[in-house]
Amino acid sequence: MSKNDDFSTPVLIFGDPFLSKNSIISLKKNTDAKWVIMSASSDTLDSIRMEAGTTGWEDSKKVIEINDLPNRKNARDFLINLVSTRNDLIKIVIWDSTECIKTNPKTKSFDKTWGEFVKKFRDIDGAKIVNNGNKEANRGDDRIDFIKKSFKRFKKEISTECANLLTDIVGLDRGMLLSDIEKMAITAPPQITREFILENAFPSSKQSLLYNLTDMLDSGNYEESVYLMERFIQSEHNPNQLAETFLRHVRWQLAASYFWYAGSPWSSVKDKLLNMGKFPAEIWHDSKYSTSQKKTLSEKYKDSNDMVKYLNEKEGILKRYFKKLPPNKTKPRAERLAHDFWADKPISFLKNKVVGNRPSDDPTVKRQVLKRAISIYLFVNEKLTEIRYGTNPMQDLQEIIKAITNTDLSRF
Amino acid sequence: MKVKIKQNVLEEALNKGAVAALLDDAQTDTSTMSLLVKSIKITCNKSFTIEGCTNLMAVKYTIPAKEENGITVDEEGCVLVPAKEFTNWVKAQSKDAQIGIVLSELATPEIINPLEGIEVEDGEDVSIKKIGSIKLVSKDSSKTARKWELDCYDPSQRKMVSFASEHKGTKHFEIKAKSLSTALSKIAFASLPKDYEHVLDSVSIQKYENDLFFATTDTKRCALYKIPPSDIDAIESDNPLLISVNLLDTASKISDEENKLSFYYNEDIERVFISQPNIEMRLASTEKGNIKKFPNIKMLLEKDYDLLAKTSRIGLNSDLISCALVNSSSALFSFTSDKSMLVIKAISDDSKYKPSVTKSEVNSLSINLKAVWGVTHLIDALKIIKDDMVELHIPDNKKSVKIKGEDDDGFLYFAMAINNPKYASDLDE
Repeated sequence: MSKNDDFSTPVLIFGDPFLSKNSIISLKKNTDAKWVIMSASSDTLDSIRMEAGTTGWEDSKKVIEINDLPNRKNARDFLINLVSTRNDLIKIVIWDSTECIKTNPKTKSFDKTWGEFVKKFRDIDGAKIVNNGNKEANRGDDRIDFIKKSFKRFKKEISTECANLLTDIVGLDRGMLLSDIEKMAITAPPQITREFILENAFPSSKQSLLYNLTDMLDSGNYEESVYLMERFIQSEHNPNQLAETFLRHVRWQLAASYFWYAGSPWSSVKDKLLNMGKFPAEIWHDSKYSTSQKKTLSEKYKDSNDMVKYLNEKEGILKRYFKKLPPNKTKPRAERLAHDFWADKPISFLKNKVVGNRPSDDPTVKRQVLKRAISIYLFVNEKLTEIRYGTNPMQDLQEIIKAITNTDLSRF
Repeated sequence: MKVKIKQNVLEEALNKGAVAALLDDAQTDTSTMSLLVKSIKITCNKSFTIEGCTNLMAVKYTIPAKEENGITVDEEGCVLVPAKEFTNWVKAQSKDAQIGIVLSELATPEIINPLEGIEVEDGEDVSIKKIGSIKLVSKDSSKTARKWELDCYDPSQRKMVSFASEHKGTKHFEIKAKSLSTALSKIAFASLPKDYEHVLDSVSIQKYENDLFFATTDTKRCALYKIPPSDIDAIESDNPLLISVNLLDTASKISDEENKLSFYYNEDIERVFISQPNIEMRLASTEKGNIKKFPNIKMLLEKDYDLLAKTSRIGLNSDLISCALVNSSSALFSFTSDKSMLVIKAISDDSKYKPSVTKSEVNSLSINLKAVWGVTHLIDALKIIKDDMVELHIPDNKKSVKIKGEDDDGFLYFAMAINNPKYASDLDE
């Protein structure tokens, strides 16, 4: 079936790279013409001119996508000159993939150099401009408008308050926001509620942040992990928060390494990890109870008064050692693994990436695995302090990732 | 398995039979069973066979296991060994060495589980059976001996491609192997390095009247080569074939130039089979639906092109190289018949250089013409043509140019004219 390839030409796309890529994909979906990609930085202007001046055999249609715009006057002049020439068989799409075209967040106008370019482009007959906003424009009302418009495409309404809540959870990266909106729209009610956002917004809530980031760390891929970390920083996550996440991650690895070193087979390390932080330990770490029994038995100690009672009566800790907290103060809680599958992550990483093909009953290997976990935990802890009080958090985060993705046991 | 084989014989066998398993496609395979994909199957009985396969290419090379061929089989057998390691070791031995290959089997095969620790669905077998190792000994005339050992796996785990006639599909044609290498050397340059539809990075083999043509195009130009009729035995199908330039080039390099190549096409599996007495190859073809996206060469061959001019190949090449310094993509070609003159003017969009103008004399010029053509397009064609004089032909609509040597050596080249507004004022003059 022939597609409708009557999109007006030339097209200029700029702004958020993720959304711009989506714009390109939707144009591609609507055309049968051959799509040729050229770079305005690495291809010569003459070769772009030649491509745009040559039709195929049998006068076939062609779309030329020009990306990688350099910040050079002659390139800008050339592009304007190129798109000013009409050809029914050749369509031209210019994508500012390097984000040269930026708007001033205060004045909402383009900078002078590229503003002139956009203005000349707009004046060309039939020209279409797709402005996908950019990071500076992500702040304030634009961001809220973007969320509202994105939901509207799926016939859903969202209030400003809920849109603000969504950015608090997901961050300001439009790509991440759109990815979340697309998923949420499948199950969302016509009017998005606060509860729905809280239950369904994914990427950067603390737990999911931990999962996303640590999943990448567990692949052992330093470059990809650094890239993801930078993406989180760009979407305005605090380096301190990321470092704390990393520390928590290596602490679980340390615990798993210790259990394995102490003689537990990998299969029982998972239960031990899942029981950590659960009260009372006497019940949760007793192997004679099943998980459901443990749950039932520990149920009655959930309340803080019952906890005190238990510690007083069973463990013999005197009541005077317990202090009553002011009503609004948050109770410190031991860290626990929220889901079963999170316990698999440190185990799978240690077993497959760190131990690998080495003999699993070799005491030297066990010692090295534990030594690795302790060294990395102490190193990340030290780096966390440096991030809090230092001046170069990016370098510290990169060093943390370098340490965590290091699976070479011979160095420990 | 126990076999003695001369190093040069084994190296040649590996150069041919192991080529598929040595392709990047196999060597960069990261699938669970990649160990097997990177391996070749060696079979010793009355013949000595090496075979390897990937989705893109499969090759089976067979030679009779006779002493006069440099092969002595003491004990028949069949193993699967890592192609790269085995080939590299064999290549490192001296040419006059005698290589001994002996299979040392384990009492019980060792099971290697590449997914150890990862749960797999029931019934999914992801284990690799290591049956032992092959012990390699190389002795040459200087009595230097080298020994090595390589793990080997159960050959029944790797299903090789069947080259039985019922799997090959329809026979298309039979040509001399030398014609294939000549064709590729003449036309490969006009293809794109990579095309996701595998149309523009492929060679189209088309029948036109009673001739067989090999063609490549990047949409802006098209190179054709007509296989000399004396090199063709039979053309049995009118349907075109479309095969990746790289795969066909690899096939051409490992085929024996003295023998004929038979081409078959199995439409159901979209694979081309190429046969020679000792070697069988299977290459991936472009998807059925995309084969027709390659232009029909009939359109070019039946179009009327009139002779525009004849000129010296060396002179034109020098002029083009001068112009390419300013603009390698396009230049204005102005032919003036009363002066028998060709003026080539190059203007650049990069504004770094002043325009370049060269003048030269041409022969047999019948009309005045101004056209913009790709400079590198013409230079590429002149590299292939060996005649002293080249002919330029143009059609009525002047949208393209045909270039050929004065003597018909089967090579034809078409380049599209370029619409470049930089030359608009010159064209209007």
